[in-house]
Amino acid sequence: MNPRDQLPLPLPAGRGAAHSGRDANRGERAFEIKGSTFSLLSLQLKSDSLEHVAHDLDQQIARTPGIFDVEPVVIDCKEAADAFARQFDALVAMLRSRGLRPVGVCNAEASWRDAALEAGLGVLEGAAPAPKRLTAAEKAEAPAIVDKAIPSSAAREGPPADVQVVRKTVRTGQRVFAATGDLTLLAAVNAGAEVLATGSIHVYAPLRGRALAGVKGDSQARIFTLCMEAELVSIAGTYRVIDRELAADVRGKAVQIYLDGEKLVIEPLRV
Amino acid sequence: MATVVVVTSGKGGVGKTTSSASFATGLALRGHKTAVVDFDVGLRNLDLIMGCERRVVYDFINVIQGEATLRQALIKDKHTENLFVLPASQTRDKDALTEEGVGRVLDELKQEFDYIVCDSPAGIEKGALMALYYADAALVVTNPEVSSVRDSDRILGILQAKSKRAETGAEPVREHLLITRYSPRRVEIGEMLSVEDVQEILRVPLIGVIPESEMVLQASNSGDPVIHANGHDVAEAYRDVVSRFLGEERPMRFLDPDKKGFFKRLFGG
Repeated sequence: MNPRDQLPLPLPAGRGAAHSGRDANRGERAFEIKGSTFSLLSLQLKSDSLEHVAHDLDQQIARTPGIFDVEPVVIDCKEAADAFARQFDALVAMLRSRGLRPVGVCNAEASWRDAALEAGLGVLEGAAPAPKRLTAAEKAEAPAIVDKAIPSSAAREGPPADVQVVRKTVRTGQRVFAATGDLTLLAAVNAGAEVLATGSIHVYAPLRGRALAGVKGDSQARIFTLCMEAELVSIAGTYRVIDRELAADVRGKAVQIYLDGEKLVIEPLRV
Repeated sequence: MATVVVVTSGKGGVGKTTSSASFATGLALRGHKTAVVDFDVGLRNLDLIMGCERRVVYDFINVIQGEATLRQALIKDKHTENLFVLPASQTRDKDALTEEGVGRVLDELKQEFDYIVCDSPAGIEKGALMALYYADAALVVTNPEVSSVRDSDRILGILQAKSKRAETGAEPVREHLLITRYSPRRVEIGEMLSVEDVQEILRVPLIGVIPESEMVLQASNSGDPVIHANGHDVAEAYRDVVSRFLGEERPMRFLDPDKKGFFKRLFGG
């Protein structure tokens, strides 16, 4: 059976395996339909008050500015009250104003389903939470721990740049934030500087400032550095302030830092 | 084409004004028409160090606000040909410094002068930001100790983000590290950071190391920039800085602890 037959997409009748729109006149492909997988944030509603959701979202954003930068999101209606669906348009508008882009709903019954279709959004079936990934609600919890405990010390000079590879020394007071994926630094992170990433952080130079990996809740994120002199490290909200009591085998050495349950482990990198 | 050089540090008391005075004097001694401008509105010191505090009639703010012309405010230095001082106001506050006003005055200075040395105040507020905004080059003055290095790092970050060159995507400000109050003996016994330690953190090309010296206090007391103290190591070090800035090679001096000869130990020195 052709796997493409499983796609819930209307296929032009009589077109065989090549599901590409052939322009009968020009004989060229105008599009191609493929099965694709996307990782999406889902926002699982737990309250039925629009104000409550907005308020908590704003608090989250205040703690980690720039955390949602045109982020596609699926509204998970599993625990959402039916009546709330009546405010669907207002909910979508509110989410959009905070940097989220609702693309559809999931676990949606009746009124939510209708509201989504009415608004022109998709109804997604069978949301399986990715292994070890947190739902947006849980993710929203994890950074809260980070930021309650560690108010950012870096000055806000404009919005945090979304970078992946940094080649210049990160200076005192500067802050670098990789909003998606890993952050790789080819120069030092000076004392008083701060680097954050949704994924892991790799510093091929001395790490003297603060490094916060997995800021959106990814507890599998790691921090690597060639020279461990950090002031503070954190993974998915679990942090450790480093004063001078680091063991001799890690102090100033190449290390990797990861989360073992609740514990932050700093381990020499042995190659 | 005139060059604007900011002398900045972040940290206070590290030797910005001392260095501005000697650096500007050094450039003038080499035949370049130089103006040195005090950006420390309200706490002006440059006029004292240059020895012209009794000749201040109009100041930088007066010129920005159109109350005086540049010609009226500029003070010709008594010691050196080609050198002029634009003092800061003592009575106004930093809000009088505007980006547009500062730009206008600097543009006017650029018509007449080869080099404009901007003596920055300490900190990272308005005065410091205005002093570095129009810079083409920067001397980042740093004492070899941790808090000064930290503050210099901060000011370097700001230079790289908040200068006009950074904002317009032009070639970045040319950064130079100037280590001052260096004591080789204290470095040897581990009290002070070494040149290498400082460079490891700041990663900026070194333009000079000025040794700690009692001559600096004497110079400021007499209102005569220390570069005039011929023969003394401080003066020599500043001359080297000027030479290197002008593209000449000079080996770094005054980095080794003084091996005192017998007579020096006997009579002190």
